[in-house]
Amino acid sequence: MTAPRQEAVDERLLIEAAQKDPTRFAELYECNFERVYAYVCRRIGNRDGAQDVTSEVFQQALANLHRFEWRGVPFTAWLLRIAANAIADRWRRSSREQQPGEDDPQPYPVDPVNIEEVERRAMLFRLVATLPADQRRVIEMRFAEEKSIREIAAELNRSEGAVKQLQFRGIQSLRAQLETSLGKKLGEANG
Amino acid sequence: MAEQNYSEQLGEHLERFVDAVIATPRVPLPNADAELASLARIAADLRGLPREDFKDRLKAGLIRRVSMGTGTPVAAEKAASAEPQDGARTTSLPGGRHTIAPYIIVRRASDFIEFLKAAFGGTERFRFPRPGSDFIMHAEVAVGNSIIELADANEQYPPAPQTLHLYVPDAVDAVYSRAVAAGATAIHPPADQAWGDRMGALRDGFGNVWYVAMPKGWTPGPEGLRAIQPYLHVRGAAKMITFLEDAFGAEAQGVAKSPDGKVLHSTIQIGDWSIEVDDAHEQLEPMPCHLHLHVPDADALYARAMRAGATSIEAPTDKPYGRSGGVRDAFGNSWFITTTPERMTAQAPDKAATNAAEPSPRTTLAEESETKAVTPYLCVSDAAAALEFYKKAFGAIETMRLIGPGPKIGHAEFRIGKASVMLSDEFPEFGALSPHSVGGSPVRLRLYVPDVDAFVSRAVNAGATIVRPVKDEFYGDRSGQIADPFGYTWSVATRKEEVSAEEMQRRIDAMMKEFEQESAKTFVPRGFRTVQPYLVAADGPALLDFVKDAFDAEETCRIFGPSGGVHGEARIGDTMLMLGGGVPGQGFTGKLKPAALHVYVEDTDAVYAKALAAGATSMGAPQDHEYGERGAGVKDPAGNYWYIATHKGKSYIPEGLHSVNSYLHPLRAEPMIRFLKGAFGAQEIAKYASPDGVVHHAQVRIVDTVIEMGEAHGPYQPMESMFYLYVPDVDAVYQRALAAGAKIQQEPKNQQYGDRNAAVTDAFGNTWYIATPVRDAQ
Repeated sequence: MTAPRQEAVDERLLIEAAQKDPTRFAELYECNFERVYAYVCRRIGNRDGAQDVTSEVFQQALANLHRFEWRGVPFTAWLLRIAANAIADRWRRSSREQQPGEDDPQPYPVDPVNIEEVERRAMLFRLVATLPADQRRVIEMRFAEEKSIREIAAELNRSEGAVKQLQFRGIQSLRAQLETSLGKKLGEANG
Repeated sequence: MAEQNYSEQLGEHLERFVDAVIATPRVPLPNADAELASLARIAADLRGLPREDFKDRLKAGLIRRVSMGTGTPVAAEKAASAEPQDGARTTSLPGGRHTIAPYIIVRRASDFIEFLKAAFGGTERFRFPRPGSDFIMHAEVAVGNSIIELADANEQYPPAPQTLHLYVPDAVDAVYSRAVAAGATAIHPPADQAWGDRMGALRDGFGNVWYVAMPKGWTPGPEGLRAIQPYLHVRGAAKMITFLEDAFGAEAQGVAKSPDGKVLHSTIQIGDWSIEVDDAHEQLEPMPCHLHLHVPDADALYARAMRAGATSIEAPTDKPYGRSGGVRDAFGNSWFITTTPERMTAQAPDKAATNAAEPSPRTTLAEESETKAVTPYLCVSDAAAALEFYKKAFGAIETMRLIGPGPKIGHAEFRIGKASVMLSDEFPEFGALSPHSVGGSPVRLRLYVPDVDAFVSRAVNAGATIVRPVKDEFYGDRSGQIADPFGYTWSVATRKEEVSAEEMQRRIDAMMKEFEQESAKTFVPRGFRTVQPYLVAADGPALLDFVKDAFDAEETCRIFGPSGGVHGEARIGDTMLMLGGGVPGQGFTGKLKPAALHVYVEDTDAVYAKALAAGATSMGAPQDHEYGERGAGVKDPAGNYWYIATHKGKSYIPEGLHSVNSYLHPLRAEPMIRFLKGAFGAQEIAKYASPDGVVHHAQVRIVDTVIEMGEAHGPYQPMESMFYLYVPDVDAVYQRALAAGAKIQQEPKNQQYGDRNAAVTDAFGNTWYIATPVRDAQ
């Protein structure tokens, strides 16, 4: 309980700033977008749904920011709780739509938050931006735009083999960077 | 060459996995090759990688939302604190109305109604034609959640078209096309706008300009989209905003200005609705128009507007549709201000759904509220779900339901037996908050029913939880308390016997006497509390010296036992500690019992320095913590953790805590709390957990002693500590502790030092001595 929590203090300042001036919410958004998205997309299989829920989370967070009280619980945790509720609501709605006339909402899967998993994926998402341009382009087209190797090859005017290699090298560098970043973060936490 | 092949092969295998993982989540990782497996894990985690444009669009939407001011924190707070008697603020308007309605005066009003239907899916609410003609004196058309009021032009009121910002939830292009097909002229077709809307502009055949938009990259808040907001282009928008604030108690939300002070865009909230205002320029000329304000007190708002510099059109008078007057602002716009009696709006066609099987209880309920009963008005987080719950759990009969503003329930009424209850969704923007938002309700609802046991059991089956089980009470009721899922507590009772006030008094006196006798049994020795930490160190005397040197502890007892151990007692502030263990050179073989303790002192820095001087090592230098304490940490030579803290408040010790508080670091807090509740009747008084269940901090109270805990993290790992408890009946508590899962360490027995005690070990390795003094200790 006496461990330094500089990160938490910084975050608190950001929150207080945004509570006074909502335009400062953009900074909180920048810090937390990947985390929320990583959490949501793991639980909502399709992209449209994940985007809807992520939007909803930040809209709600913005609208309710004045209610956020600092009690040492990270802001991310608060966002993820909103996300968990939004996902649960979605489940309830969809189960109601599927079974009209059903009185009780269907139980929805309760999936506990694994903060490490969320942090790891959020960091991975952020690291994509640091890849060399051609690797980054391929990774984004493949995973974000969900294009096939053939489509990417056609669009970039390269051979399929070359695209596969770019994808391979991109994933390799992401792995290396992720290890470095996570290691660093771990070191900070222990230091 | 071989390496090249391997890399190519890996690339191929990886692509096969990527292909599978994109198509479907939860593809098992390949396990044939460790290198491939580790890359595949990265690929699996990349699934669903967010699109960059999504992140940017959402951000733009949020910023836009802040500048539009819909549901910003500032707006919500202002709304909550606004004075309701003045200005145009209102809690809710029945009949689907909002505070602001555009009042559009056109030629051929009946054609305009047809246009609104064809272009925007408008529904006609009603029209009043001039008798014997098709000249429309007044009509109303709902578009989405907005109502447009309109009338045919006459000599007194020539046509006054206006600019309207129409939001549709989706398919804005289709709406735009429909409007063109219905006769509107395109100004510019829908295009994605920088602020996160897709928007196009049209001019209809009646002179109105429509900005037709849908949100793109942002989603509206819980209040839903405002379908139509009047858009005023004026010369001198800043002055206009000031006027609206002064005259109507408007809230300017997000005013965007150019460097030369022109208002580029602003959203101005009046009551529950908003208009947009900006400075006119060549393409956007002013179109002075009529707006209708529906307010709780037309006279007051009229007077206020006049004070703010408006000119009178007509002072409020009673009209067939309510009390109404009008003013004109300095920019040529007319503002009609109307208060409609509730009974008239309730009759107006709207989305209200009433239970047809029940006679409308409207008047009787109103009469009842005025004359006989106080009617509870519940605000809940999900009114529709709450109504269903009350029907199922309490056999409630819904008698009224009004929808709006937005999709929420603005008002509903139901009956339980003969009792009436009103209910609404929460509207944070109007200060209507549910128990879920404010952390519970202090008001308990009391309900008499024919059979309390049956009632409670039905409610519990439907999802209520028991707060106090049903039992016979001294005042003649059989009663119990249940909590509903929406944060309200219901005290449900059945009258069993009529008890006179004298008899009640007699029964209370008897109960009090019994209670006093019970509490008169002093079993906690003077100066002690129910729970004492008992620190056991290899060098007991050194530990005693340490607490004296570091914390100015007052040593009250130091006894050397025959088997080479020492028992000591020392007081720090208001707390007695027990300390003991071995004596150097005496071959102590007992188990060491270090503990973590939260010590509140007047000057953390000074005590920290003294503790280091007394031989402790630092775990963290003094620093200010976000939870309102200055704190530091030290570890003494015996391995105890001391969290030294100064609370910033009236006293340096927070209310309810002690000078020294035991601090546990269990791996999981819940089972620990459960054990303390079960074994020692602990009460949970605070718990701060993250949504994934990590308990960062919790406090429980055992009779008079607070024990704190935080789940283990970093250097703060579980310790096997020892505690000494004073209880009224050692044997009974011992049995309860065993029932709660503790293991026997020592069965109850009388000790020569005057206590009858027992010892148990909990599942976390802590030892609990349970003691009742049986004779005065020597």
